[in-house]
Formats: sequence, structure tokens, C-alpha cells
Amino acid sequence: MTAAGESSASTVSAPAPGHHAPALRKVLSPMHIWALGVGIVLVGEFMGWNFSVEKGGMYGALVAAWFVGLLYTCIVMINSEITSAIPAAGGQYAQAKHTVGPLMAFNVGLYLTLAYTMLEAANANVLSYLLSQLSSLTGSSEELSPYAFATLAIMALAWLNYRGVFAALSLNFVITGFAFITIIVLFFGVSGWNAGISLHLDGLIGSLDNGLPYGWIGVIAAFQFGMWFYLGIEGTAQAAEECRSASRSVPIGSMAGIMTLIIAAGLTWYVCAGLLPWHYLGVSITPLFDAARVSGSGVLVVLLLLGTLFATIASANGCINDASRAWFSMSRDRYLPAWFSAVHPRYHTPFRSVVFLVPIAIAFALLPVLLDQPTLLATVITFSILSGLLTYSFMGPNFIRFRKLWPMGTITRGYVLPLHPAPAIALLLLSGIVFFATFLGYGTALLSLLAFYLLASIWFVQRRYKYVKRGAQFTADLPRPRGY
Amino acid sequence: MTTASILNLLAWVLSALIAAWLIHDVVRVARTHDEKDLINAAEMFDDLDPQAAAPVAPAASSSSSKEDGR
Repeated sequence: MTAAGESSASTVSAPAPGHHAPALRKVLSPMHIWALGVGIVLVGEFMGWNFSVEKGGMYGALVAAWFVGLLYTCIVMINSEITSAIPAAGGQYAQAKHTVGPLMAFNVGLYLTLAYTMLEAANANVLSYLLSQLSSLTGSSEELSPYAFATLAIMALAWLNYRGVFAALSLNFVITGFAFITIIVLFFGVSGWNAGISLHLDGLIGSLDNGLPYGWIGVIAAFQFGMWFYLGIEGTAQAAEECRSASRSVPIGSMAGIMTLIIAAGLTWYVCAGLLPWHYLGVSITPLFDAARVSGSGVLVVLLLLGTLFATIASANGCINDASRAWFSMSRDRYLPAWFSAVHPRYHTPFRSVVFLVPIAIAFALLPVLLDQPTLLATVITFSILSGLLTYSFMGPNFIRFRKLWPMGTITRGYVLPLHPAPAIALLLLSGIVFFATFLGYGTALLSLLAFYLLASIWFVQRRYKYVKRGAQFTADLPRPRGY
Repeated sequence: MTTASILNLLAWVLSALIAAWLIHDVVRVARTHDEKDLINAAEMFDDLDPQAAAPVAPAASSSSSKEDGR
């Protein structure tokens, strides 16, 4: 490990003649990109988004879903253009490396790794909870151990990711597709097109107090949980290097993904608003499953339970994929020891990065149970959300710089962001609003996280930067930017 | 032994088996392959095998100056 990565970067040399560096396998299509993006996110429709109802009421949650949906649409469009030009594993990390510099890239890489690892841990924790619920629903009085099943979930999905990206994301396509279909089935099952039959939306009509119990400040507060509808869709960029044609697959898969999520968010809000009282919905752990139970249909209950389970598994699976790619990318640029940048000779996966992150994810998944502190799970999730938010806040300025470095017509782009710079500015503004909303609810966590990343940056500059090969940072197949 | 405890035990055993397989494969790959055949880095050969490293390449030098100019 040290031999590969700890030597100073003072000398730069050429590869040995005839040597072919092992590479990730290019096997993915738009279908897999969709599965990766939607797979990570869709669990947010099954649980998590509804806390925005507690903060801002039913209309507050809906407004949050729309505005945060706009934020993520900007992210997806920006990602699509940059990734089609810089199709590298690491996604936003590689973008930051090319447009800003090593310190920003290190921070973004760390945000990405921690955001996905924390989300994976939270998913494993929730999965064990769901299995316990399942056993109690079958009439069992005995409790399944959350330790055993959270660990098994992480181990099994890590094994799958270790063995190959194609199988891992093909599985994600199947289970994510199933989970999405269950939301549509629920809509039809409760005759969603005819609100008078089983949905009760009358309470939302009339006085604004019915849907906005805390006024517009409640709407702002709801933004942080509105992120659950879409959090993680930006992860599609992580798979760019493994696409058969990144300039085609990433824009198509990502755009299809955000459209799927906006449809799912709308259906989820509508069905839950019509079936569950807002006071209950705001604190429910599994709102869609609860909506199915209220419907009284046994088939819908089973389907939505399976949908919730599959969405959780798909999210954890996608998170393992993305966290390992971010870690791997930082390693091959020497931001971390090069040992982690090894590619498996048979499976063509970043196998050491996959394995290294397993114990970290297990530790964060089991900690809330071991310490008997259920609120720790919320902290883990908040850590993930804030890390994601930090990534988004850099993407707007980064994109403006990207367009300055490589103006239109100077490079080939698989997708061109329309109305530039409006989406980049909108992204920056919306990120600021969500930051404010998060500060309202988790001010201490936000400040702690910023302090953590500041310390990590100091460590990087003091201890790690000397190993970074500045001459090898520019890896994209792009012409020298203007002004360089 | 109850059904739940059997399922719990099964989950632990499966987790242990997967962990053992992963560790075994990581070690096996490291033993059967040269490190420089595994590492995916643009310029890693000087560190891994100083004897085999070639002199500074012109392309690398120009790339370096480009980066330094940032």
C-alpha cells in the first residue's frame, strides 16, 4: 500500500513500454444509468420525504418537491453536459479537478464518498427495520436481529459490486423498475384519477391554513426533506467511465431519471395526501406502505412492502457503486494512496475501494443500534444530505467556469445545457435556500460538518498534496483551455 | 432454537462467508499479479518500480507546465 502511493511527486515518468493499465469495463447503457440514478433516490419516495409535511404541511411539502425538483433538474442538466465532455469515474470530483483545482477536487471527492457511504449505512439500517416489520406482519412474535441483517445487506451488495458493474446495475434496473411500478399501481389501486372515491383531499381546499399550517417559513423549512425526493440522482455521473458511450448514456439516463423521479414525487404526494392525515404523515416511517394499508387492499400492502424493500436495496447498491468510484478516482490521482486505485484483473471493478468502504458502512449502520440511539440514524442521514448539498453548491460556479474554459464550439458535447447561465445561477440560489433550511433544522450538524471538511482540507494540504502529481491531473481528452 | 434465531445465525454465517471470500480474493489477486498490472493511475510507474521507470517524458513535462500555470 505504501509502496504504491506514498512516494513524493517530484519525479514524473512515462509508462513502461507495452504496458496497458487495467481499466474499468465499458459495458453500461442508458438503462443502467437510469437504474443507478433512480435506484439511489427512489427510497426517498418510500420514506423520508414525508418529514417535509411535518415542517411545512401538505402544501409545504408539495412546494418543496417542486422547487427542489427544479434544483435537481439543474444539477442533472449541468452534469449531463460536463460529464459528456469529461466522462471519468468520480463524476463531480473529476469535473472539479479539471475546472478548479486539487483542493476543491479533494473536498468534492470526500463529500461524494461520505454522502454515499452514509446513505448506504442508513439504507442497511432501514432494511433491517423493514425485515423486522415483515416478520411481525407474518405473525411472528420473535424479533430478527438488526445487526445480522444490516451486515448481510452490506456484505451481499458489496460482493455483487465487487464481481462486476454490469450485474450490479442490471439488478438495480429490475428492482428499481419494480419499486417504481408499485407506486403507479398504488395510484391506480386507489382510483387516483377520481379523488372522490377513496382519496380525501377536501381538507386541502379552502383556507391556506389547512395546507400551510406554519406559513411560508414552514415551506422553507420543508426544503431540506424535499431533497429526499431526488437526493442522489447526481450519482449517474460516477458511472460515466464505464458507459459504452458516455456522451449518449449519461444525458439520456440522467434525464429519464429526473423525469421518473418528478412523476414519482407527484404521485407519492398526491396519494399520501389523500389517504393519510398530515399529522400522521409527517412522522410516518414508511408513508407509502402506510397509505397501502389504509387502502385496505391486501395486494397493495404486499406490493408496497416489496417496493419499499426493493427501493432500499437498490439505493444501498447504487451507493456502494458510487462511493467506491469516488474513492477510486481520488486514489488514482494520488489524493489518497494509489493502492486503492487497483482494478480487478478479472471483474474490472475498483475492488479494493469496494472492500475498504464495507467496514465503514457497517460501522455507521450498526452504531445507532449498538448505542441504542435511534436519533443517530437521523444524524447519519443528515451528514449524507449535507455532504450532497456541499457538492451541489459548487456545481453552479463550476459550470460557469467550465463554459469559460471551453466555450461553445471548442469541444464536442453530447448534451448542451440550454439557457446558460440561468440554470447555474438558479442552482446556486436554490442551494443557498436549502442550506438556510438545513441550518434552521440542523445548524449544529451543519457547522460540525463544515469544521470536519475544513480539518480534512488542512490535512490534505499539509500531508497529502505533496504526493499529488500535478502534471497528471489533466486526464480529459480536451484541448488546452483558453488562457492556459 | 427459534425460527428468528436460525435466521439471525444464517445471516451471520452468510456475512462471514462473503467477508472471507472478499478478503481471500483481494489477497489472492495481490499475490498473483504484479502491483503495476493492477493500479489504474496515469503515472504510477516511477513509484512502483524505479528501476524500470523511463526518463521524464516530453508530454508529461508540457502537461506539468500546463497544470502549474493554473
